[in-house]
Amino acid sequence: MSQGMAEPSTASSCRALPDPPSRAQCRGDAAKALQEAWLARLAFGPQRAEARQVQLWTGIFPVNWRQLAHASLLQTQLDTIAEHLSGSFPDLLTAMVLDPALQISLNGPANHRGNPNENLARELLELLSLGEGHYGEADVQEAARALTGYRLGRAGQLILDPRRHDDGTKTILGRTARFDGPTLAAWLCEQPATALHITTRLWRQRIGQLPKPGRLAAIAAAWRRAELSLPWLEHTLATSPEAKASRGRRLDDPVLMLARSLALLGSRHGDALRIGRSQLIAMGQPLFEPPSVKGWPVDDEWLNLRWLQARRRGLQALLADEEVWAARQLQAELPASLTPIPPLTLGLPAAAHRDSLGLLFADPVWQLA
Amino acid sequence: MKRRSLLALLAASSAGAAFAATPGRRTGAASNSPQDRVLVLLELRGGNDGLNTLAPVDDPLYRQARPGLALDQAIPLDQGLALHPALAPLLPVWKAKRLGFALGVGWPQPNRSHFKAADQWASGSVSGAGPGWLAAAFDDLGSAGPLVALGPSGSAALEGGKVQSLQLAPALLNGRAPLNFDPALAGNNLILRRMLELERAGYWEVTRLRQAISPLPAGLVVPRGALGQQVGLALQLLASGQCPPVLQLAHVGYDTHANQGPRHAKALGELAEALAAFDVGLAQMPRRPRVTLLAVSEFGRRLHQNASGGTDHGSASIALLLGDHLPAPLLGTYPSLANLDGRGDLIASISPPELYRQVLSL
Repeated sequence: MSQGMAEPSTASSCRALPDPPSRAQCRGDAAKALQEAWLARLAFGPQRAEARQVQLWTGIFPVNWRQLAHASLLQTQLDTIAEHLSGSFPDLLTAMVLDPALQISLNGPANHRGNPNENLARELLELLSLGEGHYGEADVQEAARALTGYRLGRAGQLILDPRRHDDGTKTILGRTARFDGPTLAAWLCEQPATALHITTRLWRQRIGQLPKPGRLAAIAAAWRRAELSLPWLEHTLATSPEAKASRGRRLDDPVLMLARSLALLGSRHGDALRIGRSQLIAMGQPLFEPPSVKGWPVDDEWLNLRWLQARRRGLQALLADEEVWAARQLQAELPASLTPIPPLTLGLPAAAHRDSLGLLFADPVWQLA
Repeated sequence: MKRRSLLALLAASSAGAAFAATPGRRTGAASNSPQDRVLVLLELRGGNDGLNTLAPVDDPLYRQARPGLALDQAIPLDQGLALHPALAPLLPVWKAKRLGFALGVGWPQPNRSHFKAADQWASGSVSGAGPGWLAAAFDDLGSAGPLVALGPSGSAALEGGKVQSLQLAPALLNGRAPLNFDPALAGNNLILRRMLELERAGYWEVTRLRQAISPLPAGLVVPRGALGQQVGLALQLLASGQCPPVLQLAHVGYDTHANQGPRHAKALGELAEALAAFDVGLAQMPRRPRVTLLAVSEFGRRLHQNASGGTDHGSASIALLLGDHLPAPLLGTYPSLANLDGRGDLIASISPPELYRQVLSL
């Protein structure tokens, strides 16, 4: 997945620089390159559908590039998620528990036996598996012990250091064993609460308003029978009657909305990605800078005046750039299939020119998914 | 305390009713202003370490528990408590009796999840469900609002009620007004309708505030950065003569699991400079409403430091108050470092609803 990277700077090349300002500049440049390359993947492909799924999963396993020594660790995380999309949730969760970027972002390498740092353990239980209310404080403390001893090796890979790992038995959710990262992840995935919680989070992202609890519980139970297969869950949610009924009734993520807009404009000029990247900051969704470990807002959580305004301003800035416009690859017509419901300000289909595109980008309906 | 009883107290309190800006109910300095009292809520996101904000420096247990983090250069205030040195810019405000702290603030059964705890604080209820505490309080007073968030991601404390809640940014007040579509165009599409209603309400409110907003007092230096920018806009609104009754600000960077020393000092330094500028700005206004600022965080941090030079999520913490009529510089009693809960964390003595009740009655 790294073929889109613009300037392949590496962690060691930034570390080799003499002074902190130039190292920070190097890290910032690497992050911008990754953000723009990722935006290009989402807008132009290859494999846009897969990139979209990875983007949504980065809302479940959020990592902020500013916490990392180098953005290349994020590329590793994106690649790891992509590799697991055809597999199962337990495999994905295990890979994420052992992912250097996620570990660093939650202080995993600082977690020593004898004096555990609970950050990773707590968020693993609360956000990445069981959900709040399905574990006790003692489970957090014991899970933190299980996760002691992981640290980064020289090549940026994650190592379990036996001198720092607490090898004793831990009692977590009623089972006593010598848990470590993978066995803890596997045990969490055996809990019915995990299937329900992850089903709920994906439903919020992909469909929006939650259905009655019984409906979610039924899908979660069937998902467990399907051995927590990720393709099964994606397919089940995507083909549900609720997904069909939600078309045009959900506020899209800024990143996905911007990627749609770039794809429609078809301009591969570098300014398009640069403008897109910086406008996403004002829209509330700077790439790889989630506001917290809870990930991104979804659907109506994006409803605030500041962000809505920024969405329109950002698209108009994109359209106003002469070089971006000169490099456009527009179809002759804006088809009715572009929006889930008819726009308020123009009728589709319409001839594609700068004015009609400006109207479409400013239309409230363009923000809906 | 359940919110119902909090509201009952509020409704009975004439001081609380002043927020509703009803004619003939005015007290305080700015009686010719249509909005005579303004509450500013400042949310410190991440779980601020109360123990190193207002430190019990005379207690030997403090140093024992935090050999690498206990403050050496803290500024003594009162009762054996001392300010983090990064808060030095607030010392003049303290000496002017315009700064105070509520001690031992937190829930009887603390939740250590950022999100659950933030929901509890926002709603003022243990369940974390229901409208924001300020939305509920101002609904109860029949206020038209708006309750205005200046922090970049809004505030749940202001939302969920009947009273209008808006989020404003400098760009919104200086740039183009929001679109103004008729919400009826949305038909039965709920999200589209909410979007159009929000933009229409924003259109009128932004148009009104844009005409009213005042320049900053001459010569006032507001620090750069996200919090400074919010403070600057808050001062402009406070000087406008049409200030919304509630303003919310937000500051991030308090989740200090690792390397707490410099990180906490940086956050508190930004906080102190912004609040000091806020207070200077207030003093320079010839006419303004009575102002109370309350700064809270979702929880404090553990007494004992962790192995990463930081502290994990704890329980009771402190809240900061700044404003015109503080009842006392220190409210409540500092939690004992010897008498801890089952997990080894500080035990709270003032619950958030109790704190809110006191603040609304100031």
